[in-house]
Amino acid sequence: MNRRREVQALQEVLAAEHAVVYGYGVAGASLRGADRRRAQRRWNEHRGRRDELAGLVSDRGATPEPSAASYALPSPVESAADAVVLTTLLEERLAAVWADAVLSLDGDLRDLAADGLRDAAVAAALWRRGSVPFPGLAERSG
Amino acid sequence: MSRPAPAGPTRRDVLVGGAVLALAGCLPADQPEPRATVPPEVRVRARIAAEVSSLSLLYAAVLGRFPEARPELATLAAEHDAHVLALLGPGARRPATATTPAPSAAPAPAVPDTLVQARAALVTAERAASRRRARQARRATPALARLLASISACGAAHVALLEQDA
Repeated sequence: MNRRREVQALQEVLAAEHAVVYGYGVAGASLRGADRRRAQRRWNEHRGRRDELAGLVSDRGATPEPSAASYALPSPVESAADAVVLTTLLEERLAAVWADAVLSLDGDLRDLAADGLRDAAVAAALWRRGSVPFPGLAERSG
Repeated sequence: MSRPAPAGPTRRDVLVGGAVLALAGCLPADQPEPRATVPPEVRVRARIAAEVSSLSLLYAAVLGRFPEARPELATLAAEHDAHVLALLGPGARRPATATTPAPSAAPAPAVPDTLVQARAALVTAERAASRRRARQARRATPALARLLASISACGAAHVALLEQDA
């Protein structure tokens, strides 16, 4: 495995996880009850992944991609329903980044990417209350 | 694959099953030196497609026995059919065997007596299949690994949805 390509793939999912952590922070504020608890749980999981990825990048002698101060959200959040649309979209986009990382990674890191894809696909399915046949594969959606 | 209507397989099940047999089962008999002529990746994909189609058959059997579950389960079942076709590739969409029912296909899987038990059996099968696809992804070429990881993720999502609605 080309070390530079490996680091680049890790940086791409790290950048995506930063954006998702930010998005969950915004969405969570508009959610109540079970949805809010799920958003908090998932927010913690994303922060865990983010830290794990930053560690993996550092281990390889590179500087982890930093978080931006803020991110342009893909959809506005003015209600709980908007928040669910946003979390679904965030997880779907993240699934695509993890799926592309599978292409560039081998061994344990490929497993990590497959796990990231799986967790994003499960979360997206629970938010939208429905399944898609090929999570993360834009060319096979629709 | 022959089960009584309306419980029997859909036309799509037959298409998918025929495609799997054509690639996984019939190739060695039809060609004198199949192992030399069929690329390894095609064989791997066909073998995995055959495994996925057993999940399709389990869904078909459950839906045959409990048609009232169709609104919930039919979409999940169709996604496994899509996985089989994706694994076999575009050339398998109109297999030569599609018009004739497969002669000695695997027997219909046993279905528990209650829908609750049947759903539990689906969850168990989905979970095992999802883990197996993830393991297969580890050894696959990059593009196939990405497809298998997505199929594995889809199965994990099925488990979550089935358990949430239980």
